[in-house]
Amino acid sequence: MGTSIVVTSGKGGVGKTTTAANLGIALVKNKKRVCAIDLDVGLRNLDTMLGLSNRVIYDLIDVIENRVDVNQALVEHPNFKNQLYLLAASQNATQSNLNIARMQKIVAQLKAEFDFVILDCPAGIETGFKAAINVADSAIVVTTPEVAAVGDADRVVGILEHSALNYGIHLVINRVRMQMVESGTSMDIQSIVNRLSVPLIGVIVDDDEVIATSNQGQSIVALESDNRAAAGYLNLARRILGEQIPLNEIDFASNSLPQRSSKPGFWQRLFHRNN
Amino acid sequence: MDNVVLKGKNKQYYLEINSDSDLKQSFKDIQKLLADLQKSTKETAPTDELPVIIDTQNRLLTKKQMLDLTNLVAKFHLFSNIKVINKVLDRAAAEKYVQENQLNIETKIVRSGQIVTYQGNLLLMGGVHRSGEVRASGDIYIMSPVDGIVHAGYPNNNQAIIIGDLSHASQLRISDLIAIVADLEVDKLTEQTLFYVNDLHNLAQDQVQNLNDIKPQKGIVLD
Repeated sequence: MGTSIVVTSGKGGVGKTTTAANLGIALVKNKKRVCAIDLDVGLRNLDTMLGLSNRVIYDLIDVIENRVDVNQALVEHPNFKNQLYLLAASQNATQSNLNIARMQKIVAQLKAEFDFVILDCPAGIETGFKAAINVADSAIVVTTPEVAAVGDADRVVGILEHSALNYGIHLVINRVRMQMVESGTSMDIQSIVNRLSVPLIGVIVDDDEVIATSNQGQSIVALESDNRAAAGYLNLARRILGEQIPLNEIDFASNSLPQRSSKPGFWQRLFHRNN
Repeated sequence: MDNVVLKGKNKQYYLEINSDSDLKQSFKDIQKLLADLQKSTKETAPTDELPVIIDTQNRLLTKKQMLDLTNLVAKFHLFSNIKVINKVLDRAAAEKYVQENQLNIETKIVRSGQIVTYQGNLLLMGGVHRSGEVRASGDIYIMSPVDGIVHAGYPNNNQAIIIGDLSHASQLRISDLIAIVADLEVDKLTEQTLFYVNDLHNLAQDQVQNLNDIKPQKGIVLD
């Protein structure tokens, strides 16, 4: 039985879809079978980020409305055959077409076949978001080091705390700009973690290559695994898989991050890893 | 050419009334034809009355004319089961024919998430952006850049074709068949490329100059 992870943020433009795509590929690189589901009905992007937009024939709404079986609608990634699949969002429906009862059945079916089901949540806290948290076992909240993004993330964490997520909520801080960190003008990572009081699981450094690769319909993790942003996503995937990797994506001068507790975390318990 | 002809085709008698002739004269000719027939068959053993189909060809009869005609034929006791047919299209059928064969011209851009559907053939001059889709029940002729999905013969017309440059499109679809352009030999796709459904019900690719050999086209109705 696999695990479903929702990638959410509240605010738009912080990198939910980029995180979902790269996390998916990073998990595939760790020999996991992954199915990504785009819930951003009406404004889908995950297909483009994964370079699959020209292969989408049926979509999530076709499955929800029983026009096709879920396995017919899955798009296999040509570079990761039998490992990475996408269930695309419909571009010409609205989020009101997301039927939660059907979604639960579909995700349950996919969890039986895949190690991970990654749900790319739309911005906002409306129908698409509600559908996502209803089918998720765990949540990754993505934020950028900006006051507005952190504020929206806080709102989202509040809602997520009220929904019963088996494996909890974790935080990814995305698009951390090194110059601003060095000059001290960026929001401090530690203060973001303190403000949200959610365990930090990944820090992704802002890198032009992330956008450059996605413009080619590729993901940074697939194309340049030695890139620092790619390293961040790969580390994120390995932490999800239960590996203890220090959060040293950027060199914290004060090194004031909370010490990771010695008792096994949610993810470790989930994968029965005690190393 | 005679106004009225009695024919036997496929074990069935047909009484054809030439639609170019005068109807009154045709009725007189029927009278004469059947009277002669009655006389000539009287000498042989009497047979059962036979079914007949009266074909009025390109003429549509009024109710009264129809009644007169069937009474006239029935009077001779040669035929029973009289059925009158013609090949005049009724309005609905004519409208359907025009709709199926008309040429639509799309000059607007079809944007992401939009699906534009046409009855008939489509001359595409506006462009289809990625994640947009155009559908036509007939053929699609492409004269503009296409990045999205082009679906000819929607939903199940295997006679439909697509002509034009699909090298940047994401998918092409004819009837119930789908091809992902990235999986095709993209450098072989030009403005001269023709896609059609072959006899094995597969999507096939050819050049437009071979169109008449592959799928001879029926008439296209222009406004």
